[in-house]
Amino acid sequence: MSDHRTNVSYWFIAPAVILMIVILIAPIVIAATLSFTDYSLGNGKFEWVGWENYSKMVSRSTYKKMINATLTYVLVVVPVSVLLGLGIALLINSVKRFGDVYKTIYFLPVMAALLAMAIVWEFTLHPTIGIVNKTLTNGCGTWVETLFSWHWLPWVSQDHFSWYQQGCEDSFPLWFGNRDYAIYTICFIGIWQTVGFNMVLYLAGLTSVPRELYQAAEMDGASSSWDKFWLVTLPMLGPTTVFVVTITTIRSFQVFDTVEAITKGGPAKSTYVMMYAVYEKAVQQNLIGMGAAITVVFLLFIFALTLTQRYLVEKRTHYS
Amino acid sequence: MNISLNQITKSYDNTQVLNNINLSINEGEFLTLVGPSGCGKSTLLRVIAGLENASSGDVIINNQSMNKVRPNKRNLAMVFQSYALYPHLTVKENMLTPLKLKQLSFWQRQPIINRFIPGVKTKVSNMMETVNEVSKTLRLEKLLERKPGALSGGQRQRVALGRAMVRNPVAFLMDEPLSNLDAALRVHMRSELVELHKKLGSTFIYVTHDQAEALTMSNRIALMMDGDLIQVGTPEELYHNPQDKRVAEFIGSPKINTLKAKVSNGNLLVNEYRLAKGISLPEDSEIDLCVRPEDVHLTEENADLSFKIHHKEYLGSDCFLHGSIENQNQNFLVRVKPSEAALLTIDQHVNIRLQREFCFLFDDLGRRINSELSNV
Repeated sequence: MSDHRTNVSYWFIAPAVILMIVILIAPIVIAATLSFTDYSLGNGKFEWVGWENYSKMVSRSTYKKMINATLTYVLVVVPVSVLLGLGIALLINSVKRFGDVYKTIYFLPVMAALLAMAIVWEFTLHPTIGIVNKTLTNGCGTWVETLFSWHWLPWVSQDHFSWYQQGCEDSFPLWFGNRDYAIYTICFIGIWQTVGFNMVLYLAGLTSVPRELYQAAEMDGASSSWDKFWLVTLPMLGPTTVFVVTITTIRSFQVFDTVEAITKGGPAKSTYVMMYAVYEKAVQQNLIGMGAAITVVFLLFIFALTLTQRYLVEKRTHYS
Repeated sequence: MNISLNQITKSYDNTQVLNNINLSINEGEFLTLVGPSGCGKSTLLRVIAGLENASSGDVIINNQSMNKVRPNKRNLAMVFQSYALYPHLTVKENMLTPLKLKQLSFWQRQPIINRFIPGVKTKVSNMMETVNEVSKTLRLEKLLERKPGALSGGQRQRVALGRAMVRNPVAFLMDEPLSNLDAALRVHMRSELVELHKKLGSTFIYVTHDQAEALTMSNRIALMMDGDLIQVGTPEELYHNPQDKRVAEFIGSPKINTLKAKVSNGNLLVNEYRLAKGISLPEDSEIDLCVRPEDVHLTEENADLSFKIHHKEYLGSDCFLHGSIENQNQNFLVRVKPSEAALLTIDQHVNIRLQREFCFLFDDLGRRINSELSNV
């Protein structure tokens, strides 16, 4: 058949290859190229600046804070939302009634527009008119303060000044205005929003665990739910877990809406996450080169993650 | 170590799945629960295992009621149709699992923590001896480090058996364990299971819908239909002495022939032809006469009926003639030697004679009428 070989095959793959180059590869290459320039939109010319944009990222404290904020967000949101998602999925899977109601409730934040929800949270956590601090203040001087002074616990000394007492004494934190709290408050909203999504993914994973495996485990002597969880549920959820962790990590690296809507990267750059930095540099300040450099670093993070995921999926969690 | 079932019933909502099942299973017996799909045989097995609770009645093992006993405390082992091996564990770990769950305490079983508890290692190495012994019996030694995903169907089957064997259970419960294998391997595994049963000497309770498996493997067969236990007996009893028309029809392949017959003046009439006399049944009662294809013979003289051949089914050692008998709406089969069949043509009419001692009579409810047929 080799005599009849023609070039027709290239024509068949051409549309796919061209589309891939135009909409996937080319933008990345252009971004990577721009990251070595000082280009800004509207300028006809640009200078090659070499690694300058990247060296800024290493030397300037702003970018250290950027990496710090991003990694803090990822390292808090991913484990908490994955574990909570799994826990809620297991609970919903075990209830005989109202499972659908719970599913809907937990899924609501996923369906809502995060930007709108960010504004709701901003008001909820507002230091003076927000319901959270109002409620906390109302508890001062009552049994609530006594409870949260922790003095009733035998191992807490009477001199101990608890977080709640501190709040009553001075004031409760400015959730978005205090640099010790801001990133964690953003994390909280991120978790609140992601848990429902992870729960749904885990619920889908749980339905694919064969019932006979649980029965085999029961016959083998795994009588407690704990034993069955470690022997059957968790290993069978391996592929789901890899997927959930990867997608949550990627989404966490991409956090933008809440930061843009509420803190604008502040206070003191404590919530200056990568996507917001790209936006600020490239869009607001028209420093396309710098924005591109941050984007490339961001892409490298995602690329490393994807490779890890492929490795884990192929080597560890696909059993057949 | 005998197992007995006392008036077991099981119903889901309004559907009755098991009706008053009474069965006593002897120690060391290979008992097969056979029946068409949906007859309740798997449910009965699960009730014995404790995976499902009976609505009423008792499962008694060793003279003790097991109704309140959890599956893992009944000391029964089960082999599932899908094998239900733990896909993330190697063959060795799969076989160790029941031992670990039984012999190690809660903390000794927890990962990481157990490294700091003394005695775990010795216990596990003792278990490994058992696993090695069992894997030798099942010829699994070379597969111990593999995962189930890398095994063939027959090998997975043997691992599932091995996981059941390591615990030395009172009885093995098997839920259609061969139905996922290809035909050749299935026949091979049949004899392997029978060998294994002989070697171990423990009780096997085996569920299948395949009457051939039931006939070839078991000491006794319990035939179930629509949630009822219809007949229990040796394979020979079920084949040669069915007590119910459904038993006669289910056991044996190809299916038994049925002829509509009538009683008149103590004579048994098929198509007005007097097949037997001296029948003590009410006048004009409609009965079914069942006879297996091998108990019908082509004959020149003393013919009972005329048979029209529709087609010939050649099987090498035998040949089945498919055809019909006038005024009988059911297909009729006759087994002949291939040499005989070669002389016959399609649409030919031949004379047949039924072997009287193997004709079974059933009343209109399908119950066996025990009546010797004497020749005319």
